[in-house]
Amino acid sequence: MKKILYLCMFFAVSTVVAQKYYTKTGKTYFKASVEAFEPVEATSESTTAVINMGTGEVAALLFIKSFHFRIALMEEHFNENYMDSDKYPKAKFKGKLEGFNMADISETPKEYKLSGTLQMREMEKAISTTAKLSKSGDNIILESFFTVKPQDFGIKIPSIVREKIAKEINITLNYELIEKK
Amino acid sequence: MSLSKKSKILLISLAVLVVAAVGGYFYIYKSHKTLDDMELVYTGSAEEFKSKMDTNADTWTKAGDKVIDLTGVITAKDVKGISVNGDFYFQLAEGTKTNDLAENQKIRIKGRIIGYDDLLGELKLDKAIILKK
Repeated sequence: MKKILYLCMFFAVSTVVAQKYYTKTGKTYFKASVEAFEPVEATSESTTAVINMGTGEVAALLFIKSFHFRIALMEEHFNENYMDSDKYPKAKFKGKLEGFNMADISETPKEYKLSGTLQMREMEKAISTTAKLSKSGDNIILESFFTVKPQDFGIKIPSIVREKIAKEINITLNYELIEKK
Repeated sequence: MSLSKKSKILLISLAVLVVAAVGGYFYIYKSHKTLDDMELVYTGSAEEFKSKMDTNADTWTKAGDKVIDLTGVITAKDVKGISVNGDFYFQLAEGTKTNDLAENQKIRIKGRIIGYDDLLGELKLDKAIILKK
């Protein structure tokens, strides 16, 4: 009898651990605008993100060329001159929501400390921020914000446009995740 | 009536300026690339492309703007896109609805390759257009 109980517990625990939520179309928005100049901002609506509900681990993958700018020429320059997106196509994030517990997630957003590593252009930067998690129907919403600097990833800004691009780039995440079955 | 030399120069430089401004405007505010402006690199079955892709999935990520036109079966759908053969995720062009698409339905679709998503193990595409269902 005990054996069966342990077995049941084992399966119960392993299904909780394995439960994952994901999105393929997460919104990542960045803004590097300086007032009085043409806004430098773009959104990717193709970010993949996975949260492991058992451990609070977060993994995200974004393809640089999925960033959409209002101005096509700016998008071209972003990909070719600044990000070199054919050579370095991906930005990856791996991190963890501290003290995360699936049972605490409700429709009222709950804040967690999110720390991890952002990898881009073969360089890594430690990110420490907060993330708000909430429930929307069966889905989970993750919202977060952090800043990075172009030099963190070896992105060179020519002096001619330096005044038009912000020193700190604001990155906003808004992911609606669904349960992985 | 003949114009003075000074007026002629003024008129010509004005014309050059207007042309340059209009040209500059169209250069800066040129329209976004559509699928038709990109190179179509494959037309055929999703299954065959998958076996071709398996050997060098990552090179497709670094290939620039390439379009593929695949025929396969819808294995999943969400509000923004569809999965084909479980190996490809096509994010549909803005304004395309997935309401009238169903799982197990045969489809021919083309889209721009964004890259190989190693978190989910599938090739991701966007700006997708449904050609036949």
